[in-house]
Amino acid sequence: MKSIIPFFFGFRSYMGQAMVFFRMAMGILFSLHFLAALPDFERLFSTNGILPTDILDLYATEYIITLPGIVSFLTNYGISQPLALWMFKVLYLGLSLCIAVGFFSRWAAALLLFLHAAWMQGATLYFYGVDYFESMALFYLVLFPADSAYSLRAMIGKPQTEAMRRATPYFRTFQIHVVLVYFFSGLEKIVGFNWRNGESVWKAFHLYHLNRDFAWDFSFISDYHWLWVLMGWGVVIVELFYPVFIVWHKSRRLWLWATIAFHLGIALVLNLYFFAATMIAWNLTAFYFVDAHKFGGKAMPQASKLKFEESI
Amino acid sequence: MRHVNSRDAMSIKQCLQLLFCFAILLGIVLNNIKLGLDGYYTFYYGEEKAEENIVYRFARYCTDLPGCAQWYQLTGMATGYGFFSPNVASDFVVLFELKDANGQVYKTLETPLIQSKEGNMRFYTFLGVYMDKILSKEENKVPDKYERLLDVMLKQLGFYVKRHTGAQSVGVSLYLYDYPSLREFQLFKKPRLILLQKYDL
Repeated sequence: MKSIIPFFFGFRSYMGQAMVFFRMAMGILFSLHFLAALPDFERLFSTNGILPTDILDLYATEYIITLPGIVSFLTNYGISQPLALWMFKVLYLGLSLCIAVGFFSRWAAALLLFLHAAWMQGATLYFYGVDYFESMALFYLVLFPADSAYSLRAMIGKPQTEAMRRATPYFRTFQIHVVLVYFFSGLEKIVGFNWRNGESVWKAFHLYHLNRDFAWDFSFISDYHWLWVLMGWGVVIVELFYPVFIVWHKSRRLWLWATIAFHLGIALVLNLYFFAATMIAWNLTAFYFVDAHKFGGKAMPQASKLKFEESI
Repeated sequence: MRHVNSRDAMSIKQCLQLLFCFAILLGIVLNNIKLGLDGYYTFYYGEEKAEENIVYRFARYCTDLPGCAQWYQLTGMATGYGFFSPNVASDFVVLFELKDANGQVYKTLETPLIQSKEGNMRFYTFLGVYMDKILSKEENKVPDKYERLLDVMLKQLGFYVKRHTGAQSVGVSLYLYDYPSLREFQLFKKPRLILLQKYDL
């Protein structure tokens, strides 16, 4: 208990920098990810889409408001479905931008979390890993007072720097959460024999719908079985031992870059760009700023660091 | 910078904050234990075996408590972190054959007219639901009504394509994409599409 309290409540200046970075990075990613599917929005999420919303609604969790539910509510007040969907899109993008620029980001995140959950629940079959990480990011952005600095709010109003210190336990929870993500991911992989013999990496690289943008041909290394075994074990080791080596200050730098390299590989080979970018943002937020000075000391301008330390 | 040590008295607000943080972390751990064991047993032994594990039963009991499902869904914590594990699941492919009045195929589509990369990704994610069809064929576990729902969704995709392309008729085929393993590849085995369902609409 003696070490738990200082750990959860001892504020460090890097936490403020990390929260601000997280807000900006995730705000931009929410906007880009939403825009990326916009050409197919009606095709996927309207009643006239490829699958009727009443079928998709069967997969929704009880007692959570869904996007079709919101649309149907609005149509009772004379708002047509296209207009309701247009309002949803504008609101979603507007709130994402509010988060990115730091304009009442906690309120924006709370409202966006509600919209994001309604969107996901209305068509849960279309949503994959990155969407869940976006929900979790929004949840943390509700808890982080990340618009206290480098934000539109700080420019036009009073700085809310005291709030950042009070959010220290939430930032620590976020760091532990990131550690748990990789630990469980590694643990679940090591029990699968296909990760230990290299077959899973081989299969992932050759899934029908992935590896399309660059269409890398890996057949020339298919004879080097040891290479696939090495890649499989590499992924498992980076993930499973993440809790140890990211916490140990001497190996933190190495492990952080190894994890980022792993996610860049996911982006290049599997073309899961938004997932990779989101996970890199999570990693940088949680552990890059801890000892940013060791990475060259240019993570954030020195003046901003002083601002945090003086005001908090 | 203010350092806090254990001698500082914790206020009630701080205690509540700490409890809230522990609750979040406990929720993550329990959900991942449940989903991890579920994946492990399903992969190696079949779903029933998981019920024999007391840790699995405890984690499931906790995560099924009233309000937990909503909490997990709202915060995004419903997901497990074992992506692609313990095994990489196979992909599904849907082909839409557009036919003219003579029944001749004049065009084949892989998606129901989806335009964006991200839209395609979402559509392919949806196709993962057809893994239940494989389970239905292999272990007879999926209820008939649910299997019929899967078929209805497949037909709906075909009707959508028919409506928006002006084709006289549309053939919808669902395939499992079977890529050879490393060893099979070295023996020159080729990838193949295994037909699971076909409709002419």
